[in-house]
Amino acid sequence: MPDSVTQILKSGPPGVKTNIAVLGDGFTEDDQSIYNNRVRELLIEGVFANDYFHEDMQAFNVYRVNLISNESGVSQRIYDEKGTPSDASDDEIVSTDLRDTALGYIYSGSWAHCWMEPGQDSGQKIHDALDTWVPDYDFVLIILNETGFGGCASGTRLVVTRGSEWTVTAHEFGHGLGGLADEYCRPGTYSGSEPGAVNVTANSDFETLKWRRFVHPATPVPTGVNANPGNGGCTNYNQGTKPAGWSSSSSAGLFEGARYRDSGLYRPVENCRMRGNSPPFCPVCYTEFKERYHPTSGHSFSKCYAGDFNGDGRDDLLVHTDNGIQIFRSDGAQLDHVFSAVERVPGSWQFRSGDRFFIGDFNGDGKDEVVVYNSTNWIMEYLGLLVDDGSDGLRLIARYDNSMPGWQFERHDRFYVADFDGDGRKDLIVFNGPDWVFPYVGMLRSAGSGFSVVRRYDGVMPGWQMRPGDRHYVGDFTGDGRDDLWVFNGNDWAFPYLGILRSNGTSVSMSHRYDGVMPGWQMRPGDRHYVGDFDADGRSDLYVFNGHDWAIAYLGMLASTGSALGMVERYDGNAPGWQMRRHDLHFLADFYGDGKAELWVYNHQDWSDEYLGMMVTNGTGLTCAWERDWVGEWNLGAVDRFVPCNYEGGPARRGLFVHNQNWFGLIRGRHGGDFTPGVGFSAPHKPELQRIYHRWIHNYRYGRNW
Amino acid sequence: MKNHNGTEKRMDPESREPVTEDRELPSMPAPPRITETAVEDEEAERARMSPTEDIREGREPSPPEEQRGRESQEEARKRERMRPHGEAGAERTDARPPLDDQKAPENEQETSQERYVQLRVVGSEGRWRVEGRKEVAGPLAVPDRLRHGWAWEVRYGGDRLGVGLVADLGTIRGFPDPEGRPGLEGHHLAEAREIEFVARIPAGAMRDIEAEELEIELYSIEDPPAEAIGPQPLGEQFPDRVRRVSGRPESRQD
Repeated sequence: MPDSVTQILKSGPPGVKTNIAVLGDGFTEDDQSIYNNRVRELLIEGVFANDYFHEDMQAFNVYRVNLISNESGVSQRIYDEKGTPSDASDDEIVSTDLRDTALGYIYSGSWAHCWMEPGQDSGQKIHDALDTWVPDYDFVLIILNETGFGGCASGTRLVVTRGSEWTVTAHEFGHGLGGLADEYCRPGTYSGSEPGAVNVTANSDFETLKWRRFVHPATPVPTGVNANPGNGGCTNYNQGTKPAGWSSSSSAGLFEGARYRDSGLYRPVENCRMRGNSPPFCPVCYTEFKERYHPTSGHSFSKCYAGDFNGDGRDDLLVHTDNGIQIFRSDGAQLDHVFSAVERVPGSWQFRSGDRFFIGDFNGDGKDEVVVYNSTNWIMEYLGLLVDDGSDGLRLIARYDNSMPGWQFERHDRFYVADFDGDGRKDLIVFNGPDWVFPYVGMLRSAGSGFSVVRRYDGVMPGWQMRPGDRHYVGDFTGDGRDDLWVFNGNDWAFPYLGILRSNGTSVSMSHRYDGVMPGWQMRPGDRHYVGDFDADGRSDLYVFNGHDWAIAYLGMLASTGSALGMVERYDGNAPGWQMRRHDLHFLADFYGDGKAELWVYNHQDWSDEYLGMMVTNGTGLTCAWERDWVGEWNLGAVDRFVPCNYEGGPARRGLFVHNQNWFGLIRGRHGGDFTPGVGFSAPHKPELQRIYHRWIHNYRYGRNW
Repeated sequence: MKNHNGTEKRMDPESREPVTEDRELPSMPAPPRITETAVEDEEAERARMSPTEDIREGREPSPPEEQRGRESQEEARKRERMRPHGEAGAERTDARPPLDDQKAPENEQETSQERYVQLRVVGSEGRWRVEGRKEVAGPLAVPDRLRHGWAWEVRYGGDRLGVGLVADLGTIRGFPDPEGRPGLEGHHLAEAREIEFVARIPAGAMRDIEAEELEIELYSIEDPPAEAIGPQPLGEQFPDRVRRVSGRPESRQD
């Protein structure tokens, strides 16, 4: 069996990522499975499955090099330590048992000799292996086939034995990749100059403390003072009563004892990974890693999706970045990172930049699943169904390559999530206008574990001649529990048409078609439609807006009777509390959880400032309230994008994910109290910002990363 | 954004007057005057959709060539039709894992023209030698700011060819004793006799240059500056913030 290499973490080109090369020494051909398992346990299931490194795994590549040693185990050396195990200067070699291994390392188990040492030509063998098998490397991890304890790090090389814990490796990565100092203590008082490492300081002045931004002003500084210098211990919180909820790894202060001293040097928290290995990195160390590697992770907030992926009633956040995804779990008030996947999820689906995501409960289990479609990055189109993997992540359970029985995928397929058979599982409706000789519509029913085409319409649907410019919406127009298909075409005919096609579960039939006009509304190509039940009668109604084709902007509310639409209210230029303008953008909401579909409205073009408003309905009309320019700390801007959601839980759907490349926010529509007809709301309702994140999502106990 | 008069425009929620966007456009008639039979013929030359009762499945749909604008009828006719629903085709009917990898375009790996040169640099006391040189395909990321730790810089003829950061160099750390024996509780620390790091230079910049001709510097950074890295040598741009390694690398311990 020849030597080989496998890239076990594929984040991107080596020149833009941080590359970790893993080499094994003392593993014969028969031992390779032991080596492979150890690498997987140590890195993939250990370091990169936990806290910081899991979050930013997209900044790293890992290459596992399988080197075949002729003998199993590594060379052994015994030292006579002369009774002074901490002093190597007087040691003598008693014996050296050399073995024929790939890298020639020698294990001694002697602390003073770094537990192991390279053989005469280990350096050359390492270089040869790296040059042959690894395109580039920033850090080298060498695993010895040795069950004794030990590890030795030098700069960007770490050598460990088989039994090494992943937490120790993560600690060593803190040095080799993060430039972090040790935070554990030994007897001695420090009297030198201020250390350069970000996580240790000799400065006890809060005003100039290098990690001051993470320390709550009410925290005593110093927070832990060594009353007995020379005891060798790291002092914890002893300046007053430790507040309830104080975290030993996440709450920052100034604790005496760090970097091999018990006094004169301070660390940021009681117990960080750089002290105790097992805890996660503290805010200071975590932020240092983020500053170093966030840029090469490629992460941004450009592509965000909402979905309740764990079925707790609260929408979570899925972020897609090129060849990876992250999931952040909502607890109602904030988001926490729970999952990262790079390059693929098991099953498998390989992520690419052209992936399009469609969120819905496709199997009726109360959790949202993810349909992903890619028609641009591969030689054919792919459609995949991703479901909860039971560990806060996703796995693929069905994939359709190029086609499925009854539907041939094409580049411009458009998908709509709808439960058209009313079985409690979301289905898909797919439309393709431009890629065939005439348009097609397909109804893809979900069986929970995949999709099948139950009906396809070629060029025409009952009562509707399809055209490439058709636009589609879904909503239960009739109130029978099945989502129907709404279709509008404003450009391909002499005048616009709107058709509402009722679903019977396996096909659609024309319920009503409007040719040029609807009751109280003259259709124009620039009409925009929002399908939602604004009167809570169980039937989807229609908001229609046009800001381009008339002298002023118009907004209409048309209610469904089950067989037709009727004009309820039309706003000509102004809705109460909101002056409508050409570039108003709308998003559906339900601010009160009363089953009435309402609207967010946003305008960043037509005024001197940006406006974000809430259009609240009582079923027959709207009242509006807004914020101008700022929503709390969020400075509204032209680059902002909005995803309506329910991140708080409960019956209302009053949340918004607001995002642009480097900023992410949680906005909610604050309730306006009770509504009294003829009087109004008992309290003002307005958008309010609940949480804001910059560059990355992390909930610091105190402070922030900007 | 200012309005056409150049003054600031803010929303007036009390206003009853709509904002006129374009006076050349008409106003929509009041709702009572709009009924389903009052249809304006927008463009007389364009077709109207057939009445609903006349549109049924099974009838040959007309390819919408006339609706595609500049596209010719011939171009529209070249498009294919989807296989009839129900006809057995080449589709894979079993969509369950395990599944093959998705198929990338054949020339995907060749699309990037970028390459860089990886140099393995070894030495001490400010004297560096290049012991390995390898060309690597793909783009190269360059840091824009210094961080605590070390920075290398490679120049040729006074021009910078590359700059990069290394978090940790020079210190050998052994794991603490797992039994906590006295004196062995922490790392065994030592200074490396030689240090080694990887420098990366855009391949185009290295053409016709031998490694021995390069000027290589290593800097220690204790308190990194906030300013971005500029074009001049690091030692000139940040004379007080970086320290050129001329002796053995500092092991960052007392």
